[in-house]
This record gives sequence, structure tokens and C-alpha cells, in this order.
Amino acid sequence: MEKNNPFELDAVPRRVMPLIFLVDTSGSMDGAKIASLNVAVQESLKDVGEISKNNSDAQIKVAVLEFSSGTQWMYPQPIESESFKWQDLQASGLTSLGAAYSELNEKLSKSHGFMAEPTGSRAPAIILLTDGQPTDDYKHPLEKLKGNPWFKAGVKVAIAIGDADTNVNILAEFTGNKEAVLTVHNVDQLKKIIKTVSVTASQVASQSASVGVSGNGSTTPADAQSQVVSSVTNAVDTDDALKNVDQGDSTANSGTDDWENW
Amino acid sequence: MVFNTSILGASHVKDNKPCQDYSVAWQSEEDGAVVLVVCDGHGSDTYVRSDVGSRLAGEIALEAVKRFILPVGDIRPDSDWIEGVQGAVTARESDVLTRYSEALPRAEEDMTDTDWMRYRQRLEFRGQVKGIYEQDAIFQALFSSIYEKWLEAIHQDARQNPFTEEELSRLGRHKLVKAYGTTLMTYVQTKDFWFAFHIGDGRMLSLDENQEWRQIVPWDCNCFQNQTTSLCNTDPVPMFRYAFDGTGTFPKAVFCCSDGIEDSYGDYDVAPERLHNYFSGLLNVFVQEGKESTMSKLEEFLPKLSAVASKDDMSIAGVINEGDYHQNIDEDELT
Repeated sequence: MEKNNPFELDAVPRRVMPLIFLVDTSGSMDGAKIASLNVAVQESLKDVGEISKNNSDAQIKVAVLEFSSGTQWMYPQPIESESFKWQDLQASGLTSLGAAYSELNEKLSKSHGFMAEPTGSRAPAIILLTDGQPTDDYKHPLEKLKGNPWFKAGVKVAIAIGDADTNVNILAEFTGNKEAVLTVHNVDQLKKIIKTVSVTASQVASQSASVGVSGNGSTTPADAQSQVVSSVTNAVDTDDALKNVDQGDSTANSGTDDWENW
Repeated sequence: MVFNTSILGASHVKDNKPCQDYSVAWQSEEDGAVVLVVCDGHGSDTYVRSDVGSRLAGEIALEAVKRFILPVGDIRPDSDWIEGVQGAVTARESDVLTRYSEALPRAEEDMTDTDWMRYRQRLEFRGQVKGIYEQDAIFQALFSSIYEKWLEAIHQDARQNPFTEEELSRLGRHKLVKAYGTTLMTYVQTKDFWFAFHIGDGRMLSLDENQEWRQIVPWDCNCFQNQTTSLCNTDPVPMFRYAFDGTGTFPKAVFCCSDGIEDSYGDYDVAPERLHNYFSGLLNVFVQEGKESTMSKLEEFLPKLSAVASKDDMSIAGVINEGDYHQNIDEDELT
């Protein structure tokens, strides 16, 4: 039996909240979309790093999964947001969303994934960025993912890049509600929404206790998700740079896609 | 030696909420029997009277197990049912028909992580309960009795102290029982046997003869992150899990803590040594400095720990058997 001072406060650890980006790098993302996404996520991570640094409860670690004809993690393990080095993504191939869901499901695990932090893990914030419809079977992997307790407890937001090929209903199956699906129509909106969603999701998920229906903490998963949706809705309503973003079923700005001028 | 304390968590100080934890450490002056109880009332806004719910659960559990173990007049309770037997049983499926089934809940290729966790736990339950059906029936009767008395008590509280408009607004469409939601863990020790039971989160650890801490009652996979089973669930009795030992083997110590303390030492599944080291350190201070000095330090320390770590209410209750408990029993018996 190890002897130690039980009244020592020095080594109190912070829990870890994974911020996970699922990035569509299929051929249709080539050009302005992937280029602006590379810039926007990189810039957002500076803010996320600040949130993490100033949060005494939780540290934010970042993981990026790109999916096209297959899937690949940018790094094998989540990395502290303050020191995360973004590697520019290239786009080509198909849209294997189902494969991405399967891979995510594998990693949302204590025994063989990202959640085995000795200091404890908070439920993740997951941001899906895509411009197209899945080219593989996504339904079956998504059903399995939905049975993953970490996924259920996590915050999920989807950003549809352009409305030409994306399907809000498919993305809403991932987020659990349509209000968490945001459709952008140009590079400026894409950059701005990535930053808004990354920062908001990081703030909420790193502070909430991620409790369930019978939970005993201060915030339920539904609360965390609705807090993020509410903050993002507010941003869309009040920020001029986001006023033409469509949220959920809205098609008010449908047909205004402009991915040439950047 | 037995001890307990419950302190108000830092977030509850900030939000002007009451302490929703409740703890008891009781020891019989007559025969040295011990009862430890720790209850953790839920913290979300819906659970508007969880401080009352946890206190009532603790008081009712204490009285229920006392009736179970204490003599009535000259008549000692029957302990034949537990003599020479030991067991540990996890939570069971609510649905009686699937409880003992080996069938997968769905096709193997469609099984989710949650499905597998629950299925594996169902198989564990089947194996654990096999051969101890008599003891299992007695424990189920005890848990039902505690739950029914708790239900009665919370309804009485609601009648005597009608909910305010604000409480009703926070409770929303939920049933009254949600307002009082709480976990419950209890450890009971007599000179002949010990048993323990638990619904919800928090940790109950015992120190074995090899000086190693181990979980005394099997875990329930439905307690995940801050999601926990609770007395306020629709059908909570099957969610109680338990352990017992009537072979005359006793732990050197048993410490029970609410998740406010557990969560301050990281993830128990990934790094259990963090909580074990804390308990070992605390035990050493108790042994070296005695109860009064240690409790004073502990009650000064826990609010500071809450402020820098979980922010939650914190409770701990324990019994340290080494060197005194059974010696006292033997002496009593000799006189």
C-alpha cells in the first residue's frame, strides 16, 4: 500500500475534452472549399487553444479524421489544442461517410480509442464538414455509432458546404436535430462558421458535465447540444457575416453558392 | 473506527444550492456492528429536492439494515442464510424475460457498444447469481423495502412541504419522484458477516489482506460518465447490485465516496491507482494520527479539493477494522 499525503492539492488533473473534426476530402471539395477549410480550421484552433488554456476544468485535445475513398486520422491520437499543428488537407476521391462513422465509433472507446485519459474524459464535441452525399452505406455504421455512449453524450454539429449536393436530412441523422446542421454558400461563410462552431462547441462541451437522463451533474447531453445550437443560432441571427447561412430546413439562401470568388 | 463527512461542493456554494450528498457512519455500542451509507442527490435543475431525497434514502437504508442485523430483545436475527456463503452480483435487466436469456438483443453485426456492454453484464449477472438464489431473494426483498419506504417518505415530504412555483417550474413535466433523485450505497458489517449494496455511481472500495484496494460491489455499465442509475428511475430495484460474505473474512477497511471525490482523481476505469493512493494515504493518517485530527484535516481539505477539481459535493464514509474491530468483538464475547 503506497504512502502519500492525502491532503496534497498539487496534482489535481484536468479532464480532457476531445474536439473531433470529420472532414470530407472527396474530389468535389477540391479548390476553394478545401483551401478555405484548411485556413479556417487552423485559425479556429488558435481560439480553441486559448479556451483550453484558460479552462481550469478541462483541457481540449483535437483530432481530425479525413474521409474520401477511405479514412485517415491526421495524427494517431488527439493532440493538445495549444500545440496542434494543422496539416493542409488535399481533396480527391469518393465520400465514404459510412467508413468515417465506423472509424469514429472505433475511437470513441476507453479500451481501444481516444477516451482512455487517466485524468478522465469529457464527452466529445464532433464537427462534420462535407459538401456531398455519401457514396457508401452510411446508415448501418451510423446506427452503430448512435449506440456508442460517448457519441450519444457528445455535442454534434454538421456544416454542409454548399447546397448543390448536400442533404440536410442525412446530416441531421448524424447531429440528432436539424438545427445543428448549417449550410454555407461561400468561402467567407465557411471560414466564419467553422470558427463560430469550433469555439462554441469547445466552450460548451469542455464546461458541461455531460450527464444523461438520470444524470447527477449540472448539464445533460441534450442541454449541451441545445446550448451549442442556441449559441450558433444567435450568431447566425446577429452576425452579418453569417446572415446568409441556412440553418436546418431553411432554404432561404439556396442557389446562392459561390465557390469561385476566393 | 468509523468515520464520515459530507461537504458542500464549490459549484453549489457558487449557485447557492444546498449540499445534495448525505452520509452516515454508524457503529453499535453493543456489538460493534457497522453501517456506512453514502447518498448523492442529483445536481441538475430538475432534481429540485435531491438534498431531501438523499437524506431520506440514507436514513431509511440505515434503519432498514439495522432491523436486518440487530437483535430484537434477546432474539438475534437469523444469520443462517448467509453463513459460509459469499457472492457479488451486478445490476440486472429490468425485463425478467430477457434477464436470464443468452440471446443477443439483435444480430451480431448490428450490435452497438452499448448493446455489447449490457449483454456482457447480463451474462455476468447470470453467472454471479447462480447458486445464491436464496440470498438473492433476501437482498431483493431488502431493496424493495428500502425503495418503497423511500417512495412513501418523499410523497410525505411533498404533502407536508408543497412544491413552490419555482420548484414546479424546474421540475417541468417530470414526475414527482425525479425531484428527489439520488444514488445510494451501503456497507454493513456484523461479527458474523458483511454485505454491501449500491445503486448509482460513486465508489465503494475495500482493502484486502494483500493491502490492495478493490471494488467491493460489481459496477453497473449503465453508470457512464455522469449518467447514473438512481432511486428515481422507473423501476430501480433491479438496478441495485450487491456483495456479501458470510465466511468470516472481513476487509481491513472499507471506504465509500461519492463521485465528487472519485472524479477529482481522474478516471477510475483508466487509472484506479489515483483513488487507491488517495485512500491509502487517508487510511495511513487515520491510523497514525487518530480520528479527531484526521477528520479535522479532511473537513478542511475537501472543500479545497472540490474548488480545484470536481466542484461537486463530496462525501466519504469508512470503517477501519485493522487491529480493533474484531478484537473488541472477541473481548465482548468473553465478558
